[in-house]
Amino acid sequence: MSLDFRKDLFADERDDNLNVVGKPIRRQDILGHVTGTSPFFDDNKFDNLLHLKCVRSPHHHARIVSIDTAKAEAMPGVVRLLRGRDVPVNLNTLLSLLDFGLDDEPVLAETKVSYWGEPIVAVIATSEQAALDAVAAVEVRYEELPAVFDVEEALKPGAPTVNETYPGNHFVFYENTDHQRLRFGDTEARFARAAHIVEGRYQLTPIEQAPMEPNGAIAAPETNDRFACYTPTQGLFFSVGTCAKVLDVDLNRLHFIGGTVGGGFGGKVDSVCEPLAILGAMLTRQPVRYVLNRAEEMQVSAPRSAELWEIKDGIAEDGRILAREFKGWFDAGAYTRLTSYGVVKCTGHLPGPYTIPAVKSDIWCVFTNRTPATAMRGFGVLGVDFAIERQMDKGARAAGLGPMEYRLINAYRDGDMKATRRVASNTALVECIQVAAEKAGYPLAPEYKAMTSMTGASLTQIPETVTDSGRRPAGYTAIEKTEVSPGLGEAAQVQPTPAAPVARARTGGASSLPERPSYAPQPAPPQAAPPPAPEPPEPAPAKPRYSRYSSSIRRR
Amino acid sequence: MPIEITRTDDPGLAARLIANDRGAYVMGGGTGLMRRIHEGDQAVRHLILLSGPRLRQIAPERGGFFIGAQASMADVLAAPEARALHQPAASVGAPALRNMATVGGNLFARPPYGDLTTALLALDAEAVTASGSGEDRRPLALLLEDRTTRRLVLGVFVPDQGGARLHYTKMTRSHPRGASIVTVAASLARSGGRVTMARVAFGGLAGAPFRASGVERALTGGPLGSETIATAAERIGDGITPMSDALASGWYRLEMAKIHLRRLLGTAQGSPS
Amino acid sequence: MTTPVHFTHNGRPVSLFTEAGESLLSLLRLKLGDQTPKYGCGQGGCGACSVRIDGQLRLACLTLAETVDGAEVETVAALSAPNLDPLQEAFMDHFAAQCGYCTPGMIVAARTLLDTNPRPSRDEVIEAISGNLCRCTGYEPIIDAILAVAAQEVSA
Ligand SMILES: Cc1cc2nc3c(=O)[nH]c(=O)nc-3n(C[C@H](O)[C@H](O)[C@H](O)COP(=O)(O)OP(=O)(O)OC[C@H]3O[C@@H](n4cnc5c(N)ncnc54)[C@H](O)[C@@H]3O)c2cc1C
Repeated sequence: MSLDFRKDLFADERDDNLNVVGKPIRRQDILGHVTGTSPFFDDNKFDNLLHLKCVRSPHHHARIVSIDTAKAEAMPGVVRLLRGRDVPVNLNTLLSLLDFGLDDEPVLAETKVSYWGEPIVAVIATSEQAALDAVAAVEVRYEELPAVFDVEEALKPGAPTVNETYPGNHFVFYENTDHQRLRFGDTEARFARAAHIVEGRYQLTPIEQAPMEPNGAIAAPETNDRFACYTPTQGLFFSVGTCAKVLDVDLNRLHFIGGTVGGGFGGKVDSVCEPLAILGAMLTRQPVRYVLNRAEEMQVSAPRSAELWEIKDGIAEDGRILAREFKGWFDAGAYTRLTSYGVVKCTGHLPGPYTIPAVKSDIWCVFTNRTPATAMRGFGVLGVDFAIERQMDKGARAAGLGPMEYRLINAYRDGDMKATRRVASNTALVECIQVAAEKAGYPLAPEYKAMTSMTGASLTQIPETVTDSGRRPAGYTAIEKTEVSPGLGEAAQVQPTPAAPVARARTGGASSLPERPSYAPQPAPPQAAPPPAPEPPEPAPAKPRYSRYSSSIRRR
Repeated sequence: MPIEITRTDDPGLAARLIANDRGAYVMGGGTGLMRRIHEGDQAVRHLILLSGPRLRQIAPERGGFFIGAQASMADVLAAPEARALHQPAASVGAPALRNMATVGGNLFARPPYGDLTTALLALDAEAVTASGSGEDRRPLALLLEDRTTRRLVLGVFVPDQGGARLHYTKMTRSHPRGASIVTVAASLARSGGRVTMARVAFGGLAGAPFRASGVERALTGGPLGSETIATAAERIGDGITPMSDALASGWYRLEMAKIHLRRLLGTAQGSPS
Repeated sequence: MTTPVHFTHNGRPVSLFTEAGESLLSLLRLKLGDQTPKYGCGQGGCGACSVRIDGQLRLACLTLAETVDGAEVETVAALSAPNLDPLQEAFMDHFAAQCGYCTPGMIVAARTLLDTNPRPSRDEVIEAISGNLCRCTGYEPIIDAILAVAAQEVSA
């Protein structure tokens, strides 16, 4: 198979006289790869290495009635067991490092489990086999709860609450709205003028990234009370921050060594193994290795989220798309992880690479009792692209045009205003379609062959946009908001944080569900009146248990 | 509890150990057992490493040929006597796996596995089992049906097929190799344009490979016409519960079984008896 | 329960103790310090732990360690010394590795193929690596690299 570089296209925008780009050059790390000597995290050697394995929930949704570890603790080779109460801050959400979302996920479940395979107890033993045997000997009693696996079911009144932090089973964006919105132009007015209305409903299953190297980590004590962590993470600093937070230690006590990733594809950003490996090393003072086996990797490591889409297009007689509306539901699984961010990223991608003068989108990030979802290649955009391209094929049929022609008519051009209020530049879709048509032997009429991405912008201004008052989360208000910035000790000497944003206090530890910060359901407000704005928070007098990431250099 | 290991060349001892201790397993190539151990399966407590020349033998025997339980798929492929089994053996796993996977282990492989076994059923093979200090023979189908008695298998005996021919196909999701969605093995004898004998077995479809007697009856006695084949395909589901797993639902497996039986017999139609 | 095992590892005789139930992969990686075979699945499904035992391609994760007593065990490390195997050179030239995790097993499988079948067809190459998964490359560069070495070794 030979590559065809179409250097005739955009020739004056490109410099072909480069040293590396466009030249066959060996990867700098490839000698290690072919000799098997590239240092993956699990290739580090330790004396007295201990192995960690988790007791996992056999239910999709259950209350934990009791946990009996006596038998396991007495087994040969078992060094120590970890429970939720051993985790200093046993409630976290990954994006809290960016102050986006509420802590909603324990490192080890204490009172209930919300997905099949959720970890409850970690066993540390002298061999993997001994750890597995002890895992089997831990006795957990459950009271099963009704579970929900479907985004539409989960949003219905009376659906089981998956995640106590979000009792409505949906993420709350910007502490304000129950879903992510996009408004651009006036879709209703344009639908009314459209020659064809095309509607479609599209559904995608979760997809596991399935890297060849499973998720894992090895942590080991270093001198000066520091801990090294060998990790395959795709987000090293993100992982350090997460571990510092849940373990309640200063960042500078954690020494992360990564960089060689045996495939990630988005599946290695969640820091699921690092915190427990480090905690294990802290409590045993020995190196601890925690590697997911393949069954765990497939079942409990986070996949791409399932998505459900409804798209409505209004199309003019000549095949131009006049208006497009999206309704989307991302299935976050039991906890937020990165799905909320995927929704935002998705919204920025709409309506796909086409110029449409009216776009409206409403996307929900929904909690269900499925495995928590996270990033995967084309994070947040692949699912909707699938839906959009199916919809384009339907639209082409409705308009009586070929799929290539229909896309060429609607493809964005340099100078077009996008729904994100950015002007498109360096677009190349028209040329890509033309080349694809040529390769496929698809005959394009001369007027389509003559099209170019560089001229012909049809929408250069932000159209007059109809906004609706929007919906607050039905009767939800953020509670337990407290200022965290004061009283940070040495943090005061660090760069002053600009306009300290409101952060939520993590008072009272994490173990008891009722004390969690959450969006508590309130009686629905009367129809017309907007819900009252939350009271401005009182400055917190007490020192918080830990500070925000941005000011984490501090005295303990 | 740590795993116990017994090395022996005494089939009688091995037979007694597995008969009396549900945690004891004879080790074949370990391709199934080792995974269970890695994943902490507490049912596997005792491994029996049995050795002996007969266990790896592949040799002609009166009225057919014998394959030792510990012969690997690669051994089968290298043995001209076992030619009838070459296509099924080659359809198991990938090269490294075929060097390890044994015939004995294939009889007890977890579903959807058991491709070679499916072919052995259609060939009317017999299981040669240890009995006291001697050997016993029983139809393979009976051995597979009786799930309560744990027997040590020394090998399988494949009788001469006379005029019958084996037709075999395996449907997978991944290519060129993968686990079975459905495996079909049909041994047919024909005379004067009529099917005089049909043994049809399916793998990957239910909990274990099985002979489909309804299909066999529908095929026997008449010519191998499209109508007969279609009628026979409708009998596949009789008395079984098609299995669902991550690869395919039971419904899909059954539909695929019908299609692949029709295709397989469709090619048999045209082939010399 | 520990059992002594004696075998040759990449040509060097070794003697160690193995725990009951331990795999050859864990023995090689944790006890012998040969980290070139990788753990990808522990189920024989990915081929990242492919090694040769008495010249035969095997999966180290599914091999009970004590069964290699008296055998010759070879990992990709045996191919790299003293000079790189032509396959290793070809993998580098053809960009046949991205993350590199499947590569050691892939090269052991490819070498085993070429040793027994120096002129494989494209389909035979595909069959030979059908037990070795790669999530990065889409296989094409790997197949190209193996065919390139075959062409080169046959013409040499
Ligand atoms: C990646 C992969 C791919 C596979 N692909 C296929 C495939 O395509 N088709 C297929 O059919 N199978 C496949 N399998 C399943 C399995 O490898 C084969 O079925 C193989 O033949 C099992 O044999 P073994 O010797 O490895 O079994 P072992 O794991 O050693 O044993 C399996 C079971 O059989 C019992 N057993 C073994 N020998 C005897 C005996 N002599 N007497 C009584 N009981 C015995 C054991 O106690 C155990 O319960 C695959 C497995 C893997 C890991």
